[in-house]
Amino acid sequence: MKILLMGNPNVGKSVLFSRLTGVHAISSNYPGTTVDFTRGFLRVHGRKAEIIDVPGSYTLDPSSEAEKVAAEMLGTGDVIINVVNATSLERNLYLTLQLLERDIPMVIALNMWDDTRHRGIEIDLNRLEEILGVPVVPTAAIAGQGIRELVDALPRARRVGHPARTRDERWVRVGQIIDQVQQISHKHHRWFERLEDASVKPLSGFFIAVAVLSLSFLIIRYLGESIIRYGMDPLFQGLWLPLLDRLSAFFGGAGIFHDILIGKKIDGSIDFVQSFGLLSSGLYVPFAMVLPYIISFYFVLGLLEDTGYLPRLAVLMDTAMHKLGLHGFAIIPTLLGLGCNVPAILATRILESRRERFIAATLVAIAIPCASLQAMIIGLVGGKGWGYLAIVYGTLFLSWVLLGIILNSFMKGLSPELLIEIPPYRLPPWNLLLQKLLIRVWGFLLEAVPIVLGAVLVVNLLYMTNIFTFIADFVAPVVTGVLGLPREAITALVIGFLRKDVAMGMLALLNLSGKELVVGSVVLAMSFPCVATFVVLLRELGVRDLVKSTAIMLFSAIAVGGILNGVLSQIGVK
Amino acid sequence: MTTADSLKSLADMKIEESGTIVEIHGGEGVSTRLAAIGVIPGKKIMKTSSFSVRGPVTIKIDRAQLALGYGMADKIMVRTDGSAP
Repeated sequence: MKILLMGNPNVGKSVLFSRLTGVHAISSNYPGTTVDFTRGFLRVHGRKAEIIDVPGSYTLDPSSEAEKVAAEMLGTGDVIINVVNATSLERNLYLTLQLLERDIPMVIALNMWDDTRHRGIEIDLNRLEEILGVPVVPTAAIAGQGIRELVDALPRARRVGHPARTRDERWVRVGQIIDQVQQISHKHHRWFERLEDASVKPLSGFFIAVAVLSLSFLIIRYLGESIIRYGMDPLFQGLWLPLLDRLSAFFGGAGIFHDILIGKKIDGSIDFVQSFGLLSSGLYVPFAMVLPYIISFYFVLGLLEDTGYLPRLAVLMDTAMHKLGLHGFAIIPTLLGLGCNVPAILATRILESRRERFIAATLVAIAIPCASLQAMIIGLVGGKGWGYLAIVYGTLFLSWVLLGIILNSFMKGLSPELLIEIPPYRLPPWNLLLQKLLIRVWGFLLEAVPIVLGAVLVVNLLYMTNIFTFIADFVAPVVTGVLGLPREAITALVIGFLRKDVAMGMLALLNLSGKELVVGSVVLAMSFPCVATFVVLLRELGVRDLVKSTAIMLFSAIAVGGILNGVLSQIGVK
Repeated sequence: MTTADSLKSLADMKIEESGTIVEIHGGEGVSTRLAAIGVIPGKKIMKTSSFSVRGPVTIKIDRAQLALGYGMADKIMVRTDGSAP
């Protein structure tokens, strides 16, 4: 048996999915968190059934890639659980009626049931069940209520096969149903609602946005730094270093195995950044330099997602984003990109047109540095002084804006307009927030650590075999002439295809000046995306657009790196 | 009871002004997208905010809040409550 969880965006399908299956799907308080389907299993009366969390959709006539996924999934299901937001029944029943016209058994989960009372909403469940002809089960997925009742109702799922209606007929029918089942008593404005209104008004909204974003940045920085200072550094220096020293002594302090496992000794001792062995830098970079910022970034992102602030930021950014050929909602994939470009490019599915998706994905791949790279940039460039760090971020931001303007003016077509539902603010459900953080951190460890170790190994082998001299000869004029970087930086730029954080660590080996390190990090951030991003770009854009996107990347990386090198040399930055 | 001047586009409405959607101009594409999200003739709406330089507009409809681009807001014709007798 295959069960489909379907419903409007942001009605709690993913939370319900997690409750039903124990598989934790990422959920947030904004429409469009789920852009691809997630699969899980549950037991219905002792029998195993497959259940699928389908991306949210207002209608079965899709207008975005995410909605298209939903419409296509529909044909494959045996039973539908239509998840309906009980606090917004009149807006959810349209899809319900459309689903009832299909010949598939259905059950309705009337979710967010616990929210109806304090909003002054009363729904006559029996009457609703009678009118629709399918079981209606009240649920509160976040609190975990009504889940068993929902599973128990599944065998009673019924196919109604309503005659097909036109769009207007469906809306008329929704109106009739609402008149019969719903009563609303007026409730006074909560202070939450005042805050909701203030954050989408021009002036107050701007100040709230500045406050929220500055606070987010501060928390990310201090939380990340604290984890390094009080957690990871003591762990590595106090516990791991003595062990490595003994291992080093065992190998006699040199030799092939010594260099691969522990790395080169710097001034007679092991240096976690510069030694570049599998057990030294190979572990220190992902665990002590990157992981702390992954934790702090995703903690703050989770807060922003779950409170419901992000759609409001989208409204505020809308006018500015139109200059880049996007609308305000594109700010959400962009922010996700500051964590990792892969989910960010997937999230561009919430955008309506191909043109928009191309621009958004290309901009993310070029100008949005992921958390792994940023952690290394902050650690290494920040060490040279905060001014250098400001130049890196300033250049990337400027490139994002300029490239967007250029793409927007050269690509045919118009950017579609913003149209989103702004969810009410909600206090983040802490258990869900923590689970989401764990999923993301675990994902990082699972995907990043093996590749980091692989990259470090490759680097060591390359240094021993000189394969790179060939490539180096080929691109040396660009790297030394245009970018003003030493020849050795080429290896780092190439390794960037595997992992940007490892590549950044390699730049640190070269004793670069502040200026060179700045140019190096900008080029590394802008040039080729890492292999994981590359694969997801290929999947989402197709070969032709990937080639276009890559050409734009290489060109802009060299152009911006060259200009930056020229300007910094001119004004005498060393 | 109604005069021509009580009919205006959502883009031209004042903040906190409310009324009933009468029709939606423009092609099928616009009205389909709007209908899917519940913006259809006959619904009561209130404008909650707007941004200058043809920026987005936010509205309350059926106790939900929506944000839409200026171009769309310009195509939604509303009979405002204020000028009705």
